[in-house]
Amino acid sequence: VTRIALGGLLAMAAAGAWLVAAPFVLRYQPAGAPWTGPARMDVAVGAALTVAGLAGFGAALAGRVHELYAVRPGAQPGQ
Amino acid sequence: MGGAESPGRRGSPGRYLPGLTAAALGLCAAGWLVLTPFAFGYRGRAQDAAVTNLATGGGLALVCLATLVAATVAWRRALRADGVLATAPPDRARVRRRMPRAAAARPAPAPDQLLTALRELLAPVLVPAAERPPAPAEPALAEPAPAEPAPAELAPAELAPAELAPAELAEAAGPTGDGPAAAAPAGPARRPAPAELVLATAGAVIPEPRNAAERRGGIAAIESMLARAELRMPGYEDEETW
Repeated sequence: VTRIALGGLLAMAAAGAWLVAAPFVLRYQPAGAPWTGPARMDVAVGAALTVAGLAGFGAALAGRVHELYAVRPGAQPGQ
Repeated sequence: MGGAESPGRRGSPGRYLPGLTAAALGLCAAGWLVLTPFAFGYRGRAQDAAVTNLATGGGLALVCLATLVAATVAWRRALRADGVLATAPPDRARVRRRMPRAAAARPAPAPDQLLTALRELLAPVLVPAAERPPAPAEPALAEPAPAEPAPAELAPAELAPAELAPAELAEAAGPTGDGPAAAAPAGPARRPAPAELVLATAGAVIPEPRNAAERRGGIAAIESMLARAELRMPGYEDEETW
């Protein structure tokens, strides 16, 4: 996976983190008050995006590292 | 991830599917974020939440599209390197655009090399003509008789000895003008070999240059023909003209 794809996955995770934090940063979810619909939805979608972005980034990075180990002369993939 | 993949194959799906899946999920989430302020009707009630969702959804859609395209391109490149995908033929328009640049980047051959190659190419035709002794009737031989077909159009099997002029036959038989047998015209003439006939007709069609200026003019004409032929070489426009 190219660096652009890796950066895009990281940006996706960052957008999810922003969505989780946005209700509290922009104060459309006051502290202590019952959760509103937009805040609940933003936190849920943001959490899913963060998890998906981080998982995709980790998997792509692991594949890249595995590839680098594989092309190293004299290296075994399991080592 | 990908621990069971062979190290020689770079285009295995395990290395690209997680990124593609995550980018596709992010694209769906972006679409959902853009649509929710309209779907749930909180555009007027929660202005901040609507603006946040629209902006975040728009940016996320762009990022996820770029990620999808990059991962797809990387996967296709790896599959081509593995030989799974066939390499696409070059685009004709791109080839035409690159043609002047390639012609400018290619160094022109040196004139000495060109002339050497020309001499090697024309050696079978020109060497017998150069070895001939200068005959007084040579200008008459250079022009074929108008009633006869052109010698170049005839196959060697069609050129019977009776159809050739005696001087041509003598030339085809070789330089025998010094011996006493050359003066004896009687008796059945030796039938010349086809190769000798071809050389004789080539010598008749291509007159030997009389001086250096004529020789240079002939070589310049051949160079011009070769340059034109090189421009139409196959590979530039994917068509064979030769």
